Amino acid sequence: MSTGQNFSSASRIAEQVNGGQLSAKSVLDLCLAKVTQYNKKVNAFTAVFEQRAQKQAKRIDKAIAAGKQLPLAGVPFAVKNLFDVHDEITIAGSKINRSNQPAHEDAILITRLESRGAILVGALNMGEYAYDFTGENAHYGVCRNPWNIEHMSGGSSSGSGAALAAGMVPITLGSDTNGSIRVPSSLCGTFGLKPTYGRLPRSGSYPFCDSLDHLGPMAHNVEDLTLAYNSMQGFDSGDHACVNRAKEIVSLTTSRRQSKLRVALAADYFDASPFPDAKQAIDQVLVALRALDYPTSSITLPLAEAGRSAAFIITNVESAAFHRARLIAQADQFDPATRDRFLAGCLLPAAWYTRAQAVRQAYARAAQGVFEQVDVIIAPATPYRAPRIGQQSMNLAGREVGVRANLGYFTQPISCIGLPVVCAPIKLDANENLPIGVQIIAAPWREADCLQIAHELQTTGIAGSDIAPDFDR
Amino acid sequence: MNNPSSKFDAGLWLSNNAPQLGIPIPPEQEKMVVANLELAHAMAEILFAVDIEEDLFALAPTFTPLNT
Repeated sequence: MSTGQNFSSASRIAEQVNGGQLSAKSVLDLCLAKVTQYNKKVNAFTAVFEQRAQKQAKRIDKAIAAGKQLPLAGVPFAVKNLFDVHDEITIAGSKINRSNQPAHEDAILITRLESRGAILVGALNMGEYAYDFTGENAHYGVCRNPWNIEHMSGGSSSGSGAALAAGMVPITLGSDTNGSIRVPSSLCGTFGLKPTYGRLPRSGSYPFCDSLDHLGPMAHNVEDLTLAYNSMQGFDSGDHACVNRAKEIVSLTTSRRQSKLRVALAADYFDASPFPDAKQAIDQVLVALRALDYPTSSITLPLAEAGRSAAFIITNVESAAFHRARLIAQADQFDPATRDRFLAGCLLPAAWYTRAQAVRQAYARAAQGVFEQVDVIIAPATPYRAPRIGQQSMNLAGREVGVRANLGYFTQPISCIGLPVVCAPIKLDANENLPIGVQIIAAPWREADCLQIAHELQTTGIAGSDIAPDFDR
Repeated sequence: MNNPSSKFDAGLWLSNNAPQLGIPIPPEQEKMVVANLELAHAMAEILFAVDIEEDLFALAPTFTPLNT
């Protein structure tokens, strides 16, 4: 299918809908056609909300005809299927949740995007209950990587990465507890933002691990990522972890280096030397930033390895506690790959959990000290490009370890202490190969710094996200 | 180094504690659950090797966003 209209830029769609060159309905019809055609190949969508979307498109076209301008006018988007959608069951990648009641209202982030003119078109595949880095789901099938459908999309926001890479929608929402936005962003070659813990409200989303869960946007370029992020900001009392702060609207500058951000490469735990593709991506970023006169150095994030261990234990215990009743009554209804980890989580000693939370606080304090010396930290996102579907193990520092638990090796220590981070896809080679990303990390509440550096890298051409070659570019 | 968990036996832990805690684990699943317990134990070993100040244990075991 070649339509001449691709979904690599939400901003461009909104501009054309606001300007009257396109109607929201025509954009939506094209989107639905792309989803129908491409979803057979990648299995990114688990539900399409055509009627609802057509109603919203009609509302947008009416508003534009009445002279209104909307920042996301007519922009189709889709959400990981752990977001509540009014009158739909929030399945969260599970079979068990199918017997739940439909949601009585939309998740607040959906409401905020739609109030700015966006159109929700569907729900996206994910790992069961978000406990996954691979994109393999026993109930709804494997979500395939559009860059090579024999390879993993990454998870747990698998559909959120694959739907973008296949050009089905220009913006998706995901969740990230240990790397579930950043891993699929890296493997599918998209930009993804995991904001500071407590920034975007999680009201109306199905939890995985309360003290680590974040929500955020994914997109093909930094402008769209920023637009979606800005549109979703603001306190909501429906999420007990949401911090009551004023919105901090990010404005990307096109001129070079408005402020002297100090950039450092994360060393030690984050050393990418054993992983040639990840190393090459990091090296290219550093070369580009030095060419832009950014002061660059190398730093150690103290306790990063312990931070990862803390995240592992906390995730295991909190998620198992949440699912305990289902594990006792309906164990056979779980995906075996998640069930056995949840069961282990039910049995962990309390001393491990309290130790993990204490280490996490110590690590957070240590990181605060690091951010007195630097503003932005660059680290690998994933050790490798997308593994093949079904691959069980990978080499990590000379040891064979499980893929499912270790694709988030570099992402877990960052979300453990809630730091904001953008995963940026790096253009390493010919535009046909599987992608890989890097993490751009900042101090708490400094999403603007992550986005600014990502934008600079995009402007230089080092970072960039394309629709995969076999799809409608 | 204070490491009380170093003698952890995942298989024994499971067989002793799963019934006590009311967690039914069929024999065919035990192997994978034990493997996950061993993985968690390896993570706990790293945590107990960290020297941290005692005042952190005076805090409730929850996470507070920084700079709030």
